Amino acid sequence: MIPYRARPVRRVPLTALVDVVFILLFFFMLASSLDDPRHIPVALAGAGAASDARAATGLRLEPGQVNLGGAILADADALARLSASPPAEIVLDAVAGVDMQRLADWLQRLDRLGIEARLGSAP
Amino acid sequence: MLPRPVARPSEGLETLPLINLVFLLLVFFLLAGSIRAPEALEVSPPTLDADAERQAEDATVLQLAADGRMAWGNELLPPERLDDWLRGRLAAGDVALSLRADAGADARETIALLHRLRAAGLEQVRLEVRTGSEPP
Repeated sequence: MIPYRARPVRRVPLTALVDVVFILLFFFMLASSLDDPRHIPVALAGAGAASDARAATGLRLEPGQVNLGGAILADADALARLSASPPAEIVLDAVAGVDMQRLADWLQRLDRLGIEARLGSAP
Repeated sequence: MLPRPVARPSEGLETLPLINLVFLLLVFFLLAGSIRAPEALEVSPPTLDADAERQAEDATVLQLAADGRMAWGNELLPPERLDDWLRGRLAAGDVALSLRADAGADARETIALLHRLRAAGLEQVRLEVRTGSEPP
């Protein structure tokens, strides 16, 4: 008969495991980014035969106001005018001193109104 | 004579729940995060409150800082090298490009840059944005 010998209970050394897991955790916390980049398509004026920059309405962004086809308006007034009679296409331009946040806001507003915005060529 | 100290029950610091938690955090960061190479410029794109199309992980992103400096990945692109760089990307088969312009970058100069990229042969440009209610 084979004598039965009780094996000694071996405890798993947890400390080393936890050390490694902590190191992995710190690595992934620091090296990974949780942000979720999105993008919006941008059309440029003068691209393609269909667009004629001269025929389209012009919207020039200025700090604090806009120039809509020659009329200087506040943002809200220009938006009201555009939603009352939306043109099919707008050439969007900006003067110096306007930042990208403002341009992106206007791209979004025009997109919501169903107006195709094309970025004009800055001279 | 002082009474014999009562043997305190060994508190046996509960390590198992801690390890469980750490494992959960580890799995969370493994699954939810994506590891990206460090980038040359610190750029925070414009924030929009509506939803926009999700950007592909492997999109070619041209970074444009508020001060006008440009970079691709970890490499700064001086303006005079931009056309060469773009030709290289086009030759590699990239016809679409995402512009990660800082929210504070000058819109007029950015429009001029986009026209310059198109003149150099780029067909499709996208503007990278953030969505949600983060402070600008």
